[in-house]
Amino acid sequence: MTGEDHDTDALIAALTSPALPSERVGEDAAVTAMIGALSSVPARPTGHRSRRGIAIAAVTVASLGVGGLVAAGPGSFFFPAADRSPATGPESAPERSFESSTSSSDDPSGESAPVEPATSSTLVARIAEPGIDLVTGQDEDPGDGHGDGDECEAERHGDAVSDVARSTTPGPDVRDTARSDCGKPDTAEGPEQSPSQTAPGQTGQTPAVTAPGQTGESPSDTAPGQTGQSPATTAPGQADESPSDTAPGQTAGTASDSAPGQTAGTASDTAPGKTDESPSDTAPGQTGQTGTDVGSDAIGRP
Amino acid sequence: MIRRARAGDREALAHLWRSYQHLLLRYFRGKGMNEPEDLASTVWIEVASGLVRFEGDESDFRRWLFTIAARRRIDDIRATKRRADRIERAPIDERPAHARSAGDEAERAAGLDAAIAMVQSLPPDQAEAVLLRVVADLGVTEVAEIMHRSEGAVRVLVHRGLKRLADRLAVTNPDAETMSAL
Repeated sequence: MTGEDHDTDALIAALTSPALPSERVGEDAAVTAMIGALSSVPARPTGHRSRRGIAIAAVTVASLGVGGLVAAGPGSFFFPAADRSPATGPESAPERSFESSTSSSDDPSGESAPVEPATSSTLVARIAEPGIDLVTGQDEDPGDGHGDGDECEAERHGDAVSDVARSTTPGPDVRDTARSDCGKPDTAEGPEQSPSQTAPGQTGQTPAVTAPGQTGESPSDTAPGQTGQSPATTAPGQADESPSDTAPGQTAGTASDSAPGQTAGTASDTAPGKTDESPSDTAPGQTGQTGTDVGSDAIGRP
Repeated sequence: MIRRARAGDREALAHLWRSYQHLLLRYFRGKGMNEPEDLASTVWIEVASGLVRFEGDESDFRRWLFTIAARRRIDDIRATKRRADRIERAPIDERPAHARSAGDEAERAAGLDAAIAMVQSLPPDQAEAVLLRVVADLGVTEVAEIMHRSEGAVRVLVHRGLKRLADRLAVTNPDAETMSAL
């Protein structure tokens, strides 16, 4: 080791020597300032904030999502189910029938106006209410002679339908008249509800009346007074196209009037008390004819 | 210790301060800063503010501490240049009277002042490299990161700085009081 190295080592030793007393002046003040600076900073600035933010965001999203689903659930979930019913066939029918029967139990009259459309109960009651389009949820036009007895002057339902078919041009009037209760005896109103509600294993099976694949096995399918007012009793796809399916006055054996899969000519298809006043309804070969077609046929016949 | 200091333990903070305060002062003095105590105080405040985010051991803390010190020194130089009133370095002879007092501490203080004065006479880059390498006891890689130089450049700067110090120590009066103190 040279002398220069020794000098350099001495210099380095002086630079790295322990602290002098003069270099320790102000320790307390410095530490106090450090504690103050340390306390001014949050202990876990990023971690806690992020976790808390995530928790708040999760709770917010969950509450908003649940609230949104609750608010929009009945309208957004039920109608797609109704639209899905033709594809699923009888599987979806009990759901609708259950809700329909539930509504009938909640509101026997079935005529209460829904105050809160967003709630499921009011929606079900609204669906069970006659004159409500199941798909659109809109009220049908009550002014086209649908079911109100103000314009009904005929004593028999068949006469009323025939009169309308002869007097007016083919159109919705004939269909609506056929659907209406015009001319029906008052006694037919009684057993309208009971069969479908009390039949074993057919609790509220009104949708099963014309559900695809069903063969009219239920007496309630053709219960007297079931005039197809309720959209729920009409099979999907047959809501408007074939109103004569459930129209009073249908005669047995009209295969065209049967729903897809329904066995024509069964005794159950014929409503008790229904007559054959409407020849057009019994005309063979009228497969899948609409109410308009029925009306035109009826007009064209003597 | 660092974990305790992060939690706000006063004793741990005091321990850190006692361990590195004198090194900070020597670093600032070796770089010719006018107010090393003030600069050291700002460094400690910044350390305390960022201690909750610090992760590492003692060596990491040392590197982090002198990284902050280097930045504060540069900031102080820029501020001083903006003011254009930078005070000239205090000559060795103007050191406090208590440093020239009798006793071992006085001799140590005198030797330290002489050594710092020698380092101050180096070119800035060499002085920076020597101070960080010797006083702060940082590795070449760490010094290179702080100085934004390559490791080879840092090695050259340290070597040339120490060689120049040795030359000056040999050229100047080897029997002087300063060298005897060293």
